Amino acid sequence: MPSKLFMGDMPELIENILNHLNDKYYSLFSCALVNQHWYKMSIPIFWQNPFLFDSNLLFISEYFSSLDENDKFILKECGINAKFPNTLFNYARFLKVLDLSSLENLSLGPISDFSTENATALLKILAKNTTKISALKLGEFYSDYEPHLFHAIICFIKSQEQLR
Amino acid sequence: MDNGTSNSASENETITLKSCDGIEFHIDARIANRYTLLNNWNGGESACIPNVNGKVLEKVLEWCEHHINDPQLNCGDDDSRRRNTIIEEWDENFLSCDQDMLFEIILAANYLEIKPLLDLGCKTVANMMKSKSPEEIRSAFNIDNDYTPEEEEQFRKENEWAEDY
Repeated sequence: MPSKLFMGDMPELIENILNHLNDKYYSLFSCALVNQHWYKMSIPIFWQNPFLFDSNLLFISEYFSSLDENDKFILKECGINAKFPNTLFNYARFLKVLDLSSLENLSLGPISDFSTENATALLKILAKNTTKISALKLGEFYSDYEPHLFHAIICFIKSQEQLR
Repeated sequence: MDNGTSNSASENETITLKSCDGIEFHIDARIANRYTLLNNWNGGESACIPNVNGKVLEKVLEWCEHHINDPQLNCGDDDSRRRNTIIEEWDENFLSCDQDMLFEIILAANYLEIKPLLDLGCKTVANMMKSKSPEEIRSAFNIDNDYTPEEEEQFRKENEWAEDY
């Protein structure tokens, strides 16, 4: 019989344990596969900063899949031709770190043309679907003064509880 | 010397705590001053700490006594404490007990709201999981797998981007 610690009625303790593994993706991945309870506990930690571990942004299809049909349509209009499979979770809501400089690299992948208009549209969608971003990495994302993009970034920051 | 603690009790003061199985412990009052819940059970005769037996309470108090002069952390220090993955040698030896006792210490620290000990215990369990496969974790902690093969496959598919890290 497992310890009371792992029985599922003390989720805060499992969360504490898993938080010590927040930068150990192999270990977190294993924990998520232990059983369904651990899966539910691991996924929010697993998805809080996927940029750190996946420079190829392979996760982005699953991420975008969480969005509603209207948002997916806008993404397609922007030239984002990612596949949108049905997913077990709304992964978008777990994101805590948004690395916009990494998203620029999408021009090599599903986004064919990462223009200012596309970046602005994407920011608006991201702002609508998550409120927990606590770190925003701009990098070279905003290097020129472009009012629309600047305005979109400000709106995005205002939409996030921990960035305001 | 100011060690960052707010203990007002003097070194010679003691209080009495009783475990749920009736074992009494006479401890330095400064320990109870650091952890409010311990102070609540200072009463000896009738007051005893439910849910924590003598064997576990003895270990918890041993840890508290060793760390009596540690600076007290603020609530906002939670994240920095978690990010620090180094475990001091004394603590490592202290928690090199059998697995059941380790889990009991974590449960007691949680119940008694002794956060540094709770984090230390959780960090120790996390270290035991590092680089292990799901099967190894299940076997180490005696946990049943309730995934269907289809669910497991679906999970792997959605999260395979991270599997190699």
